[in-house]
Amino acid sequence: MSPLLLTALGCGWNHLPSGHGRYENLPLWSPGQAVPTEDGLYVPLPQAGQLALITDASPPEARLIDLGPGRLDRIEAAPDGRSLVTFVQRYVCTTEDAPKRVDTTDECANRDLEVNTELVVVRGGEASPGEDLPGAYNAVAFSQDARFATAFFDFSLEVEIDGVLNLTGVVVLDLERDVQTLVPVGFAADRILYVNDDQGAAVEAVVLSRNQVALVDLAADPPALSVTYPLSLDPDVIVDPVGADVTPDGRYALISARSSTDLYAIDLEQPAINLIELAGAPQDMAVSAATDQTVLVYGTRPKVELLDHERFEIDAVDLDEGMDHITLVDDQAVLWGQGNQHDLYRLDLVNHALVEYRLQNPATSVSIAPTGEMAVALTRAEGGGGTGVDAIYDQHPGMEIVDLRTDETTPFLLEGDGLGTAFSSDGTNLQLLVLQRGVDYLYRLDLYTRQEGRIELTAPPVAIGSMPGGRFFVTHDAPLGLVSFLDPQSGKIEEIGGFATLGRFEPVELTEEVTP
Amino acid sequence: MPRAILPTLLLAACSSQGYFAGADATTDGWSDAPSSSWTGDDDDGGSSTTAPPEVEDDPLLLPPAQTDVFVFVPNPDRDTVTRINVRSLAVDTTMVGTDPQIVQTTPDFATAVVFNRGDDSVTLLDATTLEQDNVDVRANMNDMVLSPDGGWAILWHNVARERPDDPRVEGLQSFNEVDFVDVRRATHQPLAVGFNPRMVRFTPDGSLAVVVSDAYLSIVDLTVDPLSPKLVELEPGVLDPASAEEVIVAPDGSFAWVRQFGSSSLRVVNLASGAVGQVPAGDNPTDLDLSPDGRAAVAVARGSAELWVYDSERPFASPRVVALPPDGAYGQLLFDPTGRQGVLYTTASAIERFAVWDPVADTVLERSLVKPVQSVAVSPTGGTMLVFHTKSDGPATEPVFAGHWAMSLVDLSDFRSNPLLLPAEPLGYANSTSGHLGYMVMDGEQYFEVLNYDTLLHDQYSLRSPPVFLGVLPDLAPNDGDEPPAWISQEYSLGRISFFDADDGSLDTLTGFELNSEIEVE
Repeated sequence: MSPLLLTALGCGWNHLPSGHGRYENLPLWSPGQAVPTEDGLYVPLPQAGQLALITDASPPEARLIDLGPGRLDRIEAAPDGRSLVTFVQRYVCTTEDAPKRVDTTDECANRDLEVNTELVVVRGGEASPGEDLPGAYNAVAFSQDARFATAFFDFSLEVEIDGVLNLTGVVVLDLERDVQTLVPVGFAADRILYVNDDQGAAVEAVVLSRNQVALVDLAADPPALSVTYPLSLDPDVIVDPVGADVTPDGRYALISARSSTDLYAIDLEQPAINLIELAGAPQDMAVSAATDQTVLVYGTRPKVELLDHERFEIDAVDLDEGMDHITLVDDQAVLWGQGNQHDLYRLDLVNHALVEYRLQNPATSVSIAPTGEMAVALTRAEGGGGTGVDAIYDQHPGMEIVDLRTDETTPFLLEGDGLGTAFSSDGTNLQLLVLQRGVDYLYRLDLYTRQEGRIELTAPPVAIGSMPGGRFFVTHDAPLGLVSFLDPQSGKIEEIGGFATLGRFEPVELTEEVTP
Repeated sequence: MPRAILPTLLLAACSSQGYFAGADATTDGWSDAPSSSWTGDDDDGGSSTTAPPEVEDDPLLLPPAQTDVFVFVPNPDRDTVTRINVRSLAVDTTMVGTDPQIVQTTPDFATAVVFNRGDDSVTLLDATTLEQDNVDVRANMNDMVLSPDGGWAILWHNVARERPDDPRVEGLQSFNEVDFVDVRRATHQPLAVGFNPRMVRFTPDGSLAVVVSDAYLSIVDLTVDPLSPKLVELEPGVLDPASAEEVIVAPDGSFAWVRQFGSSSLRVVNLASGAVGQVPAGDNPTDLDLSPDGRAAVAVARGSAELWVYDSERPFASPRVVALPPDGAYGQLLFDPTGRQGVLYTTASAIERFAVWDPVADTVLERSLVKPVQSVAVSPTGGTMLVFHTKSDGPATEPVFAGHWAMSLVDLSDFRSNPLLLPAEPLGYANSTSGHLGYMVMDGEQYFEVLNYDTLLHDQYSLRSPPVFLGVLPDLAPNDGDEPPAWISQEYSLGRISFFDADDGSLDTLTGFELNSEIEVE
């Protein structure tokens, strides 16, 4: 009999190694999920279940963050830009007949493994003590001051059902006082808004669930439900909130509902509800603090509506094409669509004057320069045949620069699909960087002088973003890990690679060892 | 979200002033339309003569349920009443009894009285705190009126107000009962009165209630306890007397004047002794009114084209008879609130004219109209007349108005007029007590019309859904130059009401206010 077979028989099927085998299909790193913070660039390593930190230094360095025993599941950026929130799976082996000491998941049978999720905040390259998340909550919404985090079920992600789940509550975590409170808020709560005081501290959380909105008083000890607002009185009618925002003064929560033309204006100070009838079910909604009004667009319905926050009156402006995205720029709104629309609009939120631009191809994204002067639309190929300049545009992805001051548009053809853009400005020049799929250079354009350039890259890029220190980072399609840091002014690039193998072969430790 | 139309948003009257066409010195309870108290003349519209009946009542005048600050809206489907602060737009909702159908407010604005059809009860709501008392009343009531001082709510079964969706009667049903609810003490006293009570009149001081039934007046002294009705037979010894069609009460409470169907005389009842007398009233009197100062009772004798003018407190003194134009067929009289003149018209014939009677000089001046008359109203200051025309045409109808609804604004000083073509039937109107503005809505039309009684012009505002009721808050500071706000309730499943500020022309709308009833504050 083969010694290997004997070993297998002696271990038993339930005791076969169960660690790395289940994660081998996962990539070594996630180039599209890198999170920039003032500590550097945090990068998840799915196969290893680890978190790497790449410093924005010269030269950049990479190291693992000690999250404690277990595996990293997901990461999210905290709104303060300084912290990273990680979901860490902690493992416990419940076996009662371990023949030897068990301290890794490999040594524990699947059936005996229990998993708990902990919320671990990473700041300054160090992990805080974990917050045990009750239930199967798989998402967290942070307040702007990062004092509070509210755990809820994000039904667009996988929800692990391990036992009876209560889908009518959220967990409010006071990260400063290390207290967590389960608050009943209604069925299937999946959106959280925070209301801040004048100093920017979160004082209330507005929790949206099916058919109701709950207001949680964060100043109470512990945080507690203070008001419940119904969105319907008919149990046969399901009102599913999809869009939500708070007016600049924090008084009203504006909530749109799926497939509904009603906008709920919920008075958070003097509990009351007022419904505002819209032109349709909004596809996008944006609250303009500069002009104290809300902008709404309706997808296929060619109209934009502006809602003032004092009288809640609607002013409608007709469009030639329906829009489904809004990007606010000071006291203006740029309206664009991600479908087959060719139009792009600039709407003056003060006098409601509308300027229409016609793009060569439909947009896939629109970004605004930090100075607010330019909008850059990345467009997609529409396909089709024929000859001539229109045919060429139809067959290629592109980019169009819209000067929001002069209303001039400049179309470009791209070599590959536009993946993203980044801007840098030092007051005298305004640089645009464009990432293209499958293309191993960054296209650089000075938006003032229209001087062009290319920044060669080692490998095709995946994502681009800004570091707090002013450099850009670019992640690449490189299995072992490759990140570039670019100085937009000098064009100098520094790279670091191979970090995706960090911790790959380290076993996953249990929270507690099991002794025979 | 599906939008089921809220079938009933019934707002009943308060006893605020200034909303009504014609001023009776007594405050009356009259209903053959969904309104419960108003001071206008009223008329069942029935007659045993061969001439078509006059219809005097003003169904277009929609009664409000309001105080100086709040509007009360009953929500029959949810057994709640919603109170809306017109100034701040704050909304509060409170549970009341089952199927609240009528809300009225007392003249001191302290109490909202709610009749709950579903459980035969009355809820007395403190208008400020919304604290409540509930009083069970007799079964199968469907009408309610408040006494002038708001001390009593009187309920009865009005055959004319029966509806297909009324609760099914279980067991015995009486048509002779009236229930008196003491608003201050939250108690009630049911009484048996004459068959088929159809209206309640009061003396101005509210000390006496006169319940008008077919063949009886029931006089109830509201100052004694317990209450006891004194039945006065209108035609003693007559087995099948003519039914009382219209009753007015002299301001000093001495006499009640009764016009009966098909009778050419008026019954005069001494309210103290119960004695019934009779005075002639020309041929086929079709209307009976009290002058605004209460001193004169006036009957319109359509058959003989005459006005018979009596001293209301000396009914048996010789009346003054004023001849009317013989071909005018005038059968209705409406005093302007100042009493300076009375407007004569007819709704029984398709005649495109009206006349103005000067009670001092006894002159009668005729004027033409573009279409026949359906109803008439006069602004609170008496300066302007509002004429709602029939859709059907008469022989002299202006061609451009033929086949359409219309209304005319007429200046009663110089008789300038502005006839207006309407896209739909008028649903209701309300007047500001200042006399400068009136408001009107039409059936199914999402417009709110502001009528300027000084210029005879109008402005139009869009509503978000079809209107149901409208009203104007009382003007508690008539010398401040500000117009009180008007409100318009509209069809919407979760409640919709708009508030109009005439001073700045703004229209604020609250939608979904019924949701507020389910807001839970921990």
